[in-house]
Amino acid sequence: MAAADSKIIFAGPVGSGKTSAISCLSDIPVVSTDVDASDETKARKDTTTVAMDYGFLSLEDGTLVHLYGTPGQDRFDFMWQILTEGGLGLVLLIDAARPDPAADMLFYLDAFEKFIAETGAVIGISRVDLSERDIYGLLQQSLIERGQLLPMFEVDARKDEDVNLLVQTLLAVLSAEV
Amino acid sequence: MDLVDEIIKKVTDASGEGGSDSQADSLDTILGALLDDADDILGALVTTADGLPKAQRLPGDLDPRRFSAMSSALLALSTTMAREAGKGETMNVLIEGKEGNTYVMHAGNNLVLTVFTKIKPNLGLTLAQARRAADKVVLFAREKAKGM
Ligand SMILES: Nc1nc2c(ncn2[C@@H]2O[C@H](COP(=O)(O)OP(=O)(O)OP(=O)(O)O)[C@@H](O)[C@H]2O)c(=O)[nH]1
Ligand SMILES: [Mg+2]
Repeated sequence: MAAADSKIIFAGPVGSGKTSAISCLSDIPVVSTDVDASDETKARKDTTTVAMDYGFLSLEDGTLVHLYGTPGQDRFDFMWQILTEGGLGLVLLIDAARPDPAADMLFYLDAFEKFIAETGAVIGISRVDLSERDIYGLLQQSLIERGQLLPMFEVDARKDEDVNLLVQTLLAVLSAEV
Repeated sequence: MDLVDEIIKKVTDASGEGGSDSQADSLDTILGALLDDADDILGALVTTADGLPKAQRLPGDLDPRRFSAMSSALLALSTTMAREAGKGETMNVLIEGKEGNTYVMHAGNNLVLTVFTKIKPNLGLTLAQARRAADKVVLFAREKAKGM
């Protein structure tokens, strides 16, 4: 791939770690638009993203990867549209500790279907330490049933090396497609 | 900027203290009064800072859920931008549209007031009227918090 800056988008349900992931990967303090949560999110965490997260990562070849986080709640789906504009690929973070991770994954795969078809995506399963179930197996199964194979990893969204693996894999997938 | 502030101050002073009523008005009453009193204002919406509708008087078929989410996103991003540019606390976001204006303003820490005007409104007056309504919303929220 030519040495050009790239823009990637982080999506997924509330609390799956999009803001955490961008915060730990970004070279600069992230542009954050988290506000106090007033809905059912409040039981889980204090704040939620309402517009976007932004940070960037500089690669060894000197190019920048711009990182955009979306708000998880679907009432902000207009921001998904805005933020994917000009994006090169999607990191989909799925929270293993939510009640139905497979349904979450399918929901976001549908919501970003066109974008993923035009670009590419990787899936990160976060918060696996908080779940007793084999979410990796479950999600693999439902991807197979859907006929859509995507790279998938278990990650801790608070860990630099985990998030970096997702981003590097996405960039590799994208450059292989060109 | 100073001019707008001045106009707001004048209008606010002239029309007396926004919150002199002993009992805080309900959100519906506040929005109703705003639309009744302000000829140039066609619609208004109160939402939580994280984008859920609390009360609305919207024209036509505008979906309050959608506009609530947009209001909070817009205000949060604008607030972050102004803060990072060293412009201090954000009072309101002004969108001047060819067919009318949209104002999005903080109403305390946890609520947001959004107002839609008619085409070519009186800018200073409508801003002041909206700000006064936002102050009433703050008062209402405070009373409600006390009562809990
Ligand atoms: N135990 C555990 N916690 C995690 C892991 N990954 C992320 N978290 C925590 O999960 C929470 C994720 O919150 P955010 O980063 O705000 O999530 P978000 O996806 O940005 O959420 P919204 O913006 O509300 O949609 C944070 O409290 C993280 O510390 C993980 O692998 N294990
Ligand atoms: Mg977030």
